[in-house]
Amino acid sequence: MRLSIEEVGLRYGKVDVLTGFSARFEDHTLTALTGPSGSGKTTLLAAMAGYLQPSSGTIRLYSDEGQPSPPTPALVAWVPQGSNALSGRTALDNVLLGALSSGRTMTDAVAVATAALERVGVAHRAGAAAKTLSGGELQRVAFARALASDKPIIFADEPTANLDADSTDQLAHVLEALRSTRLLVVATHDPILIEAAQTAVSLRPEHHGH
Amino acid sequence: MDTDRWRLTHLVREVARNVLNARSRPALLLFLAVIFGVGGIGYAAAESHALANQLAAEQAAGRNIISFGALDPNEPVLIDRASCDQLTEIAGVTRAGLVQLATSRDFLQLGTNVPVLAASQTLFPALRDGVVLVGSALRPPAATDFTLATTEGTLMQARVNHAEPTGLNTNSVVVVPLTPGTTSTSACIAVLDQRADASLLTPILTARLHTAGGQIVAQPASSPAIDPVKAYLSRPGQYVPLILGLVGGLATGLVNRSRTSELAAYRLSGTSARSSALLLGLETALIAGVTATSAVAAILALHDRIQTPLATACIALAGAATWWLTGILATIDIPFRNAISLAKDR
Ligand SMILES: Nc1ncnc2c1ncn2[C@@H]1O[C@H](COP(=O)(O)OP(=O)(O)OP(=O)(O)O)[C@@H](O)[C@H]1O
Ligand SMILES: [Mg+2]
Repeated sequence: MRLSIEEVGLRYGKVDVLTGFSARFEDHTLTALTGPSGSGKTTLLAAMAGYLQPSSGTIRLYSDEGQPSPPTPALVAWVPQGSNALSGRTALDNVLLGALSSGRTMTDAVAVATAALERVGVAHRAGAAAKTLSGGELQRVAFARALASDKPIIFADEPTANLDADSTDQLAHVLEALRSTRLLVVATHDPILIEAAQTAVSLRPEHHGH
Repeated sequence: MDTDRWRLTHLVREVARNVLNARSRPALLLFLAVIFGVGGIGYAAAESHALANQLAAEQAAGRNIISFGALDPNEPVLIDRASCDQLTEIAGVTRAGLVQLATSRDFLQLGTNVPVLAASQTLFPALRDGVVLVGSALRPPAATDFTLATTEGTLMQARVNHAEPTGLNTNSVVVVPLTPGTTSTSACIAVLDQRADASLLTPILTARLHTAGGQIVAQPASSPAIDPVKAYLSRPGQYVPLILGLVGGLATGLVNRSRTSELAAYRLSGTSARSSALLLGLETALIAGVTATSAVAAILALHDRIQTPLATACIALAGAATWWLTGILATIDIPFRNAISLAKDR
């Protein structure tokens, strides 16, 4: 699976976030999406996931057979910037959402979710309520939720903002291991993640003339 | 397309874990659902209590007592005894029978010139015990049964008649049984059930009476301006559960609006907008179900203190349905909003 962006413009109302932007995101590749705060990383990922229509240009997904299709949320697991969670539920229940929404049996889903929590290093907090987790733990739970879904595409929006260097390293290794099966894009300012990525796409801030 | 493969059983598990969970926000709604369900029924019980008090007061004042007699005093009427006594066979009639103001007599214990009323046993069932009934306003010498003597020395077993409504006007008379030979008198009285509709029953009863002579007329012993039963049945307060349901539904919408970040967690990890909507709809159904169950439990516990338990239950269920519908209407846009902007709602 491959994702191609051609001459895309993105805007909120009358305010352009991106104009004439082109890029390619390859399968089996971890791409770092970089750029200053407010440059449009989240906005671009939203368009690449089919949550936002570009005001101009085209975004196309290409299957391994080269078949093009418009982007759709159904193919994307999204790790949100704010680590959204069901705060009253356990970490495991939160991760289960990813596995159960793809139709697994409960036994199967629990196995997948537990493995995902182990992979990001928070398995010991599986039974804890999400509202009691630290910022970094919650961020890793949000990542594990994406892992536990069977989506071929993972977009992670600043997944290491609350993590220390060790946890970031661990996540970088997870991303590296996932590369063989998924299309991975990580919006990040983190040098460790940028270093771990095979390619980087950089956004310049849009200059509005006054 | 935006689809997923949630199994219904797993989605139902999410519903239960989100709602029946002390740490989650919908638990607040669950609490509200129980309070509103029980509170609505408590209110109905209070209204019933007020009606019962009012009925008791009006019954004592002669409500639902109907006398039949001549329309024109110059054209006397005779009412057949059997036709009057048999009015008791009609649903809604508690007792009925002929009366005849016989004479007045002098009693040792009660004084001179005491009015004596002869009446059917069907109107005063206590007469069947072979006693005469002494009105409580006559200051009888005993509280219950005693031997009454006339000044001529006739003895009879007497019983104090405490409980008659003033509409029967027996508080200052002695009631004796009509002689078996009396087959008609000029007056018939019917005491109706307190819940019966006198205006509906009166023409039916009048038609049953066999009369001779002049024209007959039915007259209520008291006719309050407002019929308390009708007022009760049309009281606005009975719709309080609907208002509570509306408030509960709006509260559900508010709580769900504070959960957009949680909704985003579903939507961004593969749950479709439709499944999210189903999840919220089922959550609301569970909460509305809890309010319905609490209301029904309260009705079962208080059923003898509620005048119209079935109607109250129907309105309580309608209130729960109102909760569900209002809750859904106040929520339904959330799952269909852009998942990324949901995630940014904080
Ligand atoms: N819903 C919206 N309506 C209007 N403007 C928006 C909306 N969302 C984002 N913007 C604006 O679009 C621009 C790009 O936002 P975006 O969130 O994509 O930036 P970003 O690169 O992800 O920033 P950060 O690194 O801080 O997360 C910003 O100026 C932001 O204020
Ligand atoms: Mg961003």
